[in-house]
Amino acid sequence: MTDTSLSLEGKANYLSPIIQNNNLTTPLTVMPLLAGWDTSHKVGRIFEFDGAGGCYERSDFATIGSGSPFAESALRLGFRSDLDLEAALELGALALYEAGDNDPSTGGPDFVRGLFPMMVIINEDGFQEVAVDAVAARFKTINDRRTTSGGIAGGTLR
Amino acid sequence: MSNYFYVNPEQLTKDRAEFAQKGIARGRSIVAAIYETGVVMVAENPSASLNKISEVYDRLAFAGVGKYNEFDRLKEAGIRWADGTGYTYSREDVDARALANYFAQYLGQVFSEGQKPLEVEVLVAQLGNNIRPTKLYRVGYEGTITDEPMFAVLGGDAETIKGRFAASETELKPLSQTLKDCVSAISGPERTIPVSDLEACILEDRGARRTFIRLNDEQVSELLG
Repeated sequence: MTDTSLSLEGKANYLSPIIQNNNLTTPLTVMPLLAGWDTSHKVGRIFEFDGAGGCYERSDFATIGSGSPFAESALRLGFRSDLDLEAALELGALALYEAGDNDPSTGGPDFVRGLFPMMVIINEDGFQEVAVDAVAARFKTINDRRTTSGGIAGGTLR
Repeated sequence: MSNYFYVNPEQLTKDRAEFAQKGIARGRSIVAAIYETGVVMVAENPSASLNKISEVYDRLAFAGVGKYNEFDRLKEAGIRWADGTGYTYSREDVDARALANYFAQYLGQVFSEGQKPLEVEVLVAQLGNNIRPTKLYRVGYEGTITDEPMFAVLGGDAETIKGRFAASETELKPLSQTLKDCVSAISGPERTIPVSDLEACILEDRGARRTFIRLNDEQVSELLG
């Protein structure tokens, strides 16, 4: 065991046997996604895992969960390697909205109860949650747009 | 029923230290020094196959003095430790300080609880990069770690060699000069060691994962000029 803090890649690899063990010994399968800021290489990195614990690094984006095919589609259409923070948040929200809209098991925004997905930003300064009001406003905008276009994106990815 | 005689722990420690020092003093010394672009380690070793210096991992090297069989086992354990750590976590998590600590824990335990202390002294060298610094850690037979800033000397003759070396080493120099300083520090003023009796290794970046290079006789002669 090292006596300094573990690298992000080290954490991702360390997670593998934990997932494998959990998924083989309990009926409660988990499929985590690990995203973080690599402090030694000064870059954001994403790792996804399969049910057997296999760890795969993604160079662009990753999705998990029952609604992930829908979210993945939105991300595939909208992703660019030069996305800025605002554009990335917008695309992420849109992908989740798509998932919520198409997949009965994915929550999506709940305007009646004021429940919204959690959005976080991880960068050199650490882990920061986006304020609920900002998230709510973002989903409200998407929802309003979709209301006028009949529930579909309507030509462009928005 | 057996009788246990009281042994003063201070006396016991002294005796063990003396025993270990005697064993270490019998062998020849090793010098390691940081130069401009890497780390060089030099040992006086007539054998070409029983190495005192070896690669441990991508950016780590090991050097040992004293009883060959004892430090060779430590070396193997160190390589296995590094391999295991790199596999379990990540290659970049394999760190010289942690490895030196691992050796120190073992040596310390054997020194106080074992039948006899190990008659060895080991060195862990790390080539720095943007994540970690270039480092030399010396681990004594009783498990003490010393962080050596520019150069490290292992073995019984350490103090004399250190004195010779300290005079010539104030700032980082190119490999050829540092190697010359190391060799003259080991040999002393009235002796010349033939190149075939020198074991010289370096840690240096060459655009690949591994950085350890064992210099052959031709390369050593060329560098010594």
